[in-house]
Amino acid sequence: MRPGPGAPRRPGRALMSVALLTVLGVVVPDASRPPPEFALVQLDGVEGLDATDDVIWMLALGSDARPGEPVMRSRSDAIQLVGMNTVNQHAVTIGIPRDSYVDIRGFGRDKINAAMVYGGPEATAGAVTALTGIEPDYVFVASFPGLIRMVNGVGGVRAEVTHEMDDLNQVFHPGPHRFSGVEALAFARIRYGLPGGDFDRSMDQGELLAGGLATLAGRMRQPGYFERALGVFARYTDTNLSPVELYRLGRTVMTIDPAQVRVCVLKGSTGYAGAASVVFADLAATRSLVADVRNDATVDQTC
Amino acid sequence: MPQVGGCRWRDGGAWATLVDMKTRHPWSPVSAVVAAMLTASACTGNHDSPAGPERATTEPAATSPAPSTTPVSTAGPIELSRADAKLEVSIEQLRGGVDRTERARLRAAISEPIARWINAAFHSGGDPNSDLDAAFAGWTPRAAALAREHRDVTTNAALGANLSRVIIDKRRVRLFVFATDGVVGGATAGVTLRVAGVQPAGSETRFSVEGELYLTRDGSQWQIFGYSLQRQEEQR
Repeated sequence: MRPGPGAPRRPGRALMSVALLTVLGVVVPDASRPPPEFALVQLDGVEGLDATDDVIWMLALGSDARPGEPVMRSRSDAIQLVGMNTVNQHAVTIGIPRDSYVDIRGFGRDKINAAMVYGGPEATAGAVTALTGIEPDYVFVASFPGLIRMVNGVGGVRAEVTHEMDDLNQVFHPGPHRFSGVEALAFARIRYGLPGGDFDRSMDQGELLAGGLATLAGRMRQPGYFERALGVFARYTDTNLSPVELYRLGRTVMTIDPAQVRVCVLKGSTGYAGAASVVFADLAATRSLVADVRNDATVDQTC
Repeated sequence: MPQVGGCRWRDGGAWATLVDMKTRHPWSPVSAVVAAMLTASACTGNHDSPAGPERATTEPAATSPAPSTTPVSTAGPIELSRADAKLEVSIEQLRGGVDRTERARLRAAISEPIARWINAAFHSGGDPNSDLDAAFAGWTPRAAALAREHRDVTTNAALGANLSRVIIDKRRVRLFVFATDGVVGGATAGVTLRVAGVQPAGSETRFSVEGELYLTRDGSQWQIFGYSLQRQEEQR
C-alpha cells in the first residue's frame, strides 16, 4: 500500500537502507577496504497533496445513445457511484444495476436507467441519491464512442474477466485481459451468459473503472503524461470546471492507490413491475454498505 | 441540442461530460441563475483570462532567464563544486493552445514559488526551522502544513540549526504545463537539488532532493499544492 498524502514513506526505505548497510558490514571486513568516501545512509520519500476534498463522490454514467440520439437524454447503461478517499488513498465503486426499480423524482417509479431519459443526468443523480443517500460531488457521462476513445487513448485497460463471454461480436475468456476501446465497451455492456445478469455486468463495469485507474497510475511515471492525458480529456469533454479546477481534481483522483480500490455492486433481487423485468434493491444491504463507506469511501466490511 | 442548466448537460458532440455538482448545484435556483450567467464563459473556458499569471513579468531572482535543455542526470554519487548554482528552469511541455510568446512569462510565474521555496528551505544558511514560513509562503495552506511535517525532506532542517554554510550546487526545474483552450490550469515541476551543509566544526552533509511539485494558480499567483519528493543523503 502506498502511504497517504502527507504520510512519509520512510519505513520501507529505511529498512532497505538498514538491510543494505547490514549486508555491507557483514560481507566486507573493515580492515580489507579503505575508509569509505561516501556511504549511502538513507533515502526518504514523502508525498502530500492539498486535495479538493478528503472524500469525493463521483457518479459515472455510460449513456447508451445510438448515433444521432442525445447522449444526455438516453438511458444510462452503466451507473457507477465512485467514492475516493484522498487521505488514505482508498476508493470504492458501487455499481447500481441499471434495471433497479427506483423512485425518480417528478417522474414516479421506473428503472433507474430511464431517469436520464426523463430528466437528464441530474435526474439520475437524484435517483441515486434517493436510493443510497449519497449525493455525488461530480457527475461524469460518457457516450459509447467516448468510452472507446478514452480507453484507446490510454493504450488499453486491463481488467479481470470472470465469466466466459460471447456477445456483441466479442469473445472473452476468464482471466486477466487488456481491453481495447471497442472490447472495453463490449465488456461493459455484455449481460448475456453472465450468471448474475445485471449484477455481474455492473461488477464488470466497476472492474473496468478500477483497471482504468491502474492503467493511468502506471503511465504517470512518464514525465508530462498527466498533463498530456488531461489535455486530451479536456479537449473532448464538456465541463463546467475551470482548467485550474480540472487540474486539481485530476491530481486528487490520481492520489488513489489502484490496489486499494474495492469494486462493489448493490445487492438485490430480480422480479417484475408490471410486465417489465426489474431489480429490487436490497435496501437493508444498501444501507449497511452506505453506512460503511459514506464518510470515508473505504470498505471495512464485505460488499 | 438539449440543455439543462446552461452548458451543464450539453450534447455538443464531446466524448464525455463532467459536471461539478457541488459548486454549481443543479437544483438550486440561485446557482441556476449563477450558472446561466456563467454559461457563456464557463462553457468556453474564457472565464480564466489568458491575461492572467502568464503575463507576469517578474522573474524570480535566482531564475535563469534562458531555458536549458541539458538532460538531467540523477544517477551516481553527489559531487559538489564549491559554488552555488543558479536555478535552471525549462518548460519541457506546453500544449493546449497557449501562445508561444507567453512561455517566458509563464516560466517565470510558475517558477517563482519554487525559487522561493528552494532559497528559504535549503539556502537559508542559518536555522532552517525559523524560515519555514518563508519557505512555504508560496504553497497552499494545507500543502504547507503537510510539507512542514515532512521538513526533513522538504527543507534542510535535518542538518541541524547551526550551519556555517549551505551550498546548492544544482537546482534544476523542468515544467510540464497543462492548458486547454489557451488557458493554463496547472503544472508539474520536476525538481532536482543537490545540497551541502557545512557545520561550524567543518563536517559536511551532502544530500539531493528529487521529485515533483504540483502547482496551480489562485488568481494570478501560482501555488504549490502537492509534492512527491525523495531525499538521498550522503555523508563523508
